[in-house]
Formats: sequence, C-alpha cells, structure tokens
Amino acid sequence: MDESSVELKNLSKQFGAHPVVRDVSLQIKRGEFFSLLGPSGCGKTTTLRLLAGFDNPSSGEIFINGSLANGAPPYARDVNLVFQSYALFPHMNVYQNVAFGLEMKKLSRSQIQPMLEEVLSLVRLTGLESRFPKQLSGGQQQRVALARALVTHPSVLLLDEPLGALDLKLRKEMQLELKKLQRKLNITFIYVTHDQEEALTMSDRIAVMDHGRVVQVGRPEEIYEQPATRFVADFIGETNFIEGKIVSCDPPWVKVDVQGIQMSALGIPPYEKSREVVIAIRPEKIWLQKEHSSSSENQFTGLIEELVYLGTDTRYLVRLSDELILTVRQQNLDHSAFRKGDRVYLGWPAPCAQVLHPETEA
Amino acid sequence: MEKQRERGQLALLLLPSTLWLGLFFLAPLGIILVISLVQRGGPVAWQLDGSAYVRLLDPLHLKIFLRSLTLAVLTTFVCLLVGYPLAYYIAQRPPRLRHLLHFFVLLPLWANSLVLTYAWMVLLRPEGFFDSLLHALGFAEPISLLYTPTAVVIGLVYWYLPFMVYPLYGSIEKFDFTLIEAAHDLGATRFQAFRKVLLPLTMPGVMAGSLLVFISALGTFVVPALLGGDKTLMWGNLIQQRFLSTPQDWPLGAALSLAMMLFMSVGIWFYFRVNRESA
Ligand SMILES: Nc1ncnc2c1ncn2[C@@H]1O[C@H](COP(=O)(O)OP(=O)(O)O)[C@@H](O)[C@H]1O
Ligand SMILES: [Mg+2]
Repeated sequence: MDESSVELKNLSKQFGAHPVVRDVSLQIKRGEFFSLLGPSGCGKTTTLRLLAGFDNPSSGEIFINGSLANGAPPYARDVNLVFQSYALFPHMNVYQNVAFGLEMKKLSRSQIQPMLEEVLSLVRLTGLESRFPKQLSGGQQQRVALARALVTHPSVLLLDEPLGALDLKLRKEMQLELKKLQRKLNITFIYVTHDQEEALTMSDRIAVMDHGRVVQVGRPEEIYEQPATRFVADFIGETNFIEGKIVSCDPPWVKVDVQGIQMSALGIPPYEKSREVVIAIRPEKIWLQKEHSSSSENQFTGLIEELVYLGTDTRYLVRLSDELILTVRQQNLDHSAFRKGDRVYLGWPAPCAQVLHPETEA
Repeated sequence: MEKQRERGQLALLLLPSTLWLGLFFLAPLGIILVISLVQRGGPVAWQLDGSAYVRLLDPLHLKIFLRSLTLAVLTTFVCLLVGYPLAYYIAQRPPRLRHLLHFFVLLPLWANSLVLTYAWMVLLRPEGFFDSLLHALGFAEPISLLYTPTAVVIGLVYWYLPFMVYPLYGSIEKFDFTLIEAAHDLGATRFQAFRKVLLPLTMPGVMAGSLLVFISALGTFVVPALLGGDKTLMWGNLIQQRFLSTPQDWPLGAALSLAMMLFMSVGIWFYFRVNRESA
C-alpha cells in the first residue's frame, strides 16, 4: 500500500448508460513507467481524466500516494497531465506557459527563475522563452507541454498520447528522450498510447485495455511472449491463430490436432480432450528451410503462396493445408531467400506456440 | 490592354458599395456639415456662420454630455456583467438548446422596441410592478424608478444586451475548454482560470460587445425620452429637440451630431488600434 504511487480499485465510469471504464484495478509503483495500451475508444483518456480529477468515477476508488483522491478537485491533486492536444495557453509565451503552475503556487519571481531555467534546459528549450506556441514546431510545443507539467514536481505525470501528433522520426527520438527523463527524475509516469511498439519500448509495465477493461498487466516481454487472450495477441504485434482440438495433455505441453496435423504448444491445464482451442504463434518464431531437419519435432511442409519484401525482413504466406495458411517472417540475412511456389519445411520451437485462454466475454 | 480591362472590372465591382456609401453616408454627412455652418432661424437661414459651434460649448451641453457618457458606460458595464455569464451559459449548452437560447436572446429585437419601452414604463412607474413588489416585501416608502437615471440604464441594458451577448458568445464558443482543464490541472482555482485564461482569450468579444453597446447607448434617444423624462436627457435627446422642438436650431443640432460622431470615431479608432496591437 505504502509502496504504490497510484492505486485504482474497481474503478468504473459510465456516461449515461454507456460504460467506458469497467472495473479497473491497478497498482502502480513509485517511479514506474506504466503504460495504458489499447485501441482508440477503449477508455484510456477517460481513465486518465478520472486520475487527474476532471471527471468523477461512477464507482470505485482512486488512491494517490496512499490517500483517497475521489472527489478532490484537479488543482488539489499532486498529479499533472500532458494533454493529447498539448493545451498550451496561446496568449502566453513559453516562459509564461511553463511558469503558470509555479505562479499558481504563489512562488515569487526569484524562486521561479531558477526552476524555470532548470526545466527548460532539461527539455532543451533554452533560448525559446519569449516565443509563443504558434511560433513553435510540433516537437517544441510538445516539450513546452512537458516542461509545464514537470516544473511543479508532481509525484505522478499523466501523459495522453503525447507523441501522437509528431512524425515518425521525431516520435522515435522523443520516445528515448522521455524514457531518459523519467529515469532521471524518478517520477511515476502513466503513459497512454494506442501504439504497441511505443508501449513495448518505453514501459516498465503495460496494462492492455479493451472496451474499458484491463485484459492483461505485465512487463513488455510478458505481454508480447505470453499474451493472455486472443485480443492481446492480436493487438500487440502480428500473430498466427491456429484453431484445433486437443489430443492429449502433458503439462505444460498440449498436443493439438489441426486438420490432421499434430502440433505441440505451451498451455496451462486443465484442458480436457477434444476441446476446441486456439494456438497463437508469432510469425518471426517460425523457421523456414529448404531441407528436412532431423532434430525438430514440430515440423511441417508447406508451399510459399505469397511473399512481401520488407527490407530487413521478408514476409511469407505459407500454405500447410487447404485451410491453413501461416504468416512467417524471416530476416534477410543472405540471398538464398525463397521464391513463390517453393516447397519448404517449416516449424517452431514448441515453447513459442501458446494455447490461449478462452476469451472472457465483455 | 489587359490592365485597362482589369481596372474597368474593378471599378464595376466597387460601384455598388461606393454608391451605397456615397448615398447613405457621405451625402447626409455633407448635408449635416453644411447645415452646421449656416445661421439659425426658421429653422435655417442659408447664410454662412460658425456660431453654432460657439453655442455647442454651452455648459449645459457639457453637463448632458457627461451624463450621456456616464449612463453609456454604466449600461456597457451592466451589459457585460449580465452578458458574460449568459453567453458562457449558452456556449456550454448542447447545440440544439443553444439555438433555442439564441432565439430568446434575440426576441426583444424582433418586437417593436417602442412598445417594449412602454411596457417598461408600466413596470417601473409608481404603483407599477416593481413598486408593488417592493411594497409587498415590506418597503413602506413608495418608490418610483420611472424618470430616474436607473430607469434609463435598465431600459438601455434591456435594449442593447443582445449586442453584448453576440460578440461574447462568438469568442466564448471558439474558446478551447481544455485550456481551462489545463489551468485547473496546474493548480488554478476556478476564478484564477477565468482571470488568467478565459478572460484574456475572450477579450476580443468583450471589446467588440462593449464598443457596440457603448456607441449605441451613447447615441440613443428613445429610451431616455420615455423612461428618463426631462431630468435625464441624453445627448441624443438634445439633437432631436434642436431639430424638432422649439426653440428649433438646426445648425446647433447639426453641430451636436458632428461632435458626437467625432467622439465616437475617436473611440472606434482607439478600439482598432488596441485590437491590432494585441493581435
Ligand atoms: N464526456 C463523454 N460523454 C460521453 N461519452 C464519452 C465522453 N468521453 C468519452 N466518451 C466515450 O467513451 C469512449 C472512450 O473514450 P476515450 O476514453 O477517449 O478513449 P481512448 O482515449 O481510449 O481513445 C468513447 O466511445 C467515447 O465516445
Ligand atoms: Mg484518447
């Protein structure tokens, strides 16, 4: 309890009859970089707004630094929000925008000056103090928003898709910069994004949201390697879903029959025989060879139906049977790549294939 | 050749507005100017004479001018106090309700304003609605608001409130309310968020609305004539009387009009200068 920076207990929010956040419980540690990841419209912004105090939850509790925050107005919460639209004050220059929070705390000019210099150099805006927001580039505006929220030293910083409006290259740079900044300041970041790659590269932990619910919480590699549901596997990265029936179960291994082809996958029992299940396997975990490999047990033959050259990788569609086509991704290490129509051997290490939990219905 | 044709087209395009301005603005202005520069008598004697401008400087006129100014400023101020919350309220409603509320704000402009002013006379006179109300509330002294400066301000606010609400509504509606949330998030109370963010960003609406109400109230004559009586004459009544009541003095009336126009022009020039600087 004492360790949590932010704790949500059974938090729900509905607008009229329309539930937007449903029974969300999370514990976020002090100094953690925590991401809320999910498709657009799944309730991420609403969750942040509940945390910041702009909306009141329909039910459930919010604890910030161990004390109940329900009902406290935004200006009384030790939490600052970086808005998706930045929401910079257009009639104030950079200096005035960033100093706003300090002025509201009734600090004197001489107290404000050094704090401002520090935060502006932190976000590399020194020298732009007298510019107005509309005279700045998108990336600079974004850093003003960041400086404005950081300057009052909140214990939690909420960020709503802060890099969404930037172009790809700038976004990648800012991802690294934000992460470095968060480490340096050791402030809890709650970071909202619909970009799975962004969440994977930046976060200590991720909560994946779907239709207002948190469907999985975990470290990036847990989320990626062991997606809890089909939704998570599908939303994060690319995944082959293979439907089949259980033949036998030898914990933690499950043998599944897929249209007469037998495959092994990792699964958590109990699984009864003949039950219909879905196996998830990432395209980059599948190997392709021209020759039969004598050592591997999860080994099949297929026909290359289609291929897409992606620069560092090539993406192949391989047909195993009439109804089973798998996507395979191979790094382009040499020129011995495969061609359309080639007969190939393919397979994967059994631990890379995973039997998914049946989807809990919303 | 090409240039000449373009010029011809331009002249053609400018013709209607030039005609309009010439016919309805410059020509009357010229007539007023001419009248102000001739002798009085019956009601004008066409004899060049500058004495109307000497009569203009009568201390009585200065007193009425200051009264007009005070009442116009007061009216503007009350309109702002009432209009700002009203415009804010309308801007915050869902779109469909907004249309209905607009309609209500505009309603007084559609009815005959003279009739509405008479209605105010009935409400404000002794033993009228307000007097009876105050009486019922326990005020023993009968009070008459009619024929006081208060009555004039009430009437003027009623007439000109829509002129304030519209520009204000325009700038409040354009305002991005996430900025208020950002201010709250950074520790601003409701009042601080209003003063530091909402008010400065809706200042163009405040200025435009105030200018419209102020100019209109300064030049008015119907409301003070009906609700103000003889003791609360305003500049507009003065002009009207010099043209229409005895002793008629058209040159003085014209000079009074020109003085008012000059004063307003300075006000408008000042407004645009301030606006340009803040933009
Ligand atoms: N004030 C509101 N009134 C009604 N519905 C809302 C309101 N705010 C958000 N919603 C709805 O809640 C859902 C989730 O919105 P949001 O939290 O913004 O999603 P995200 O940030 O994940 O894209 C959307 O369907 C949206 O239409
Ligand atoms: Mg959002």
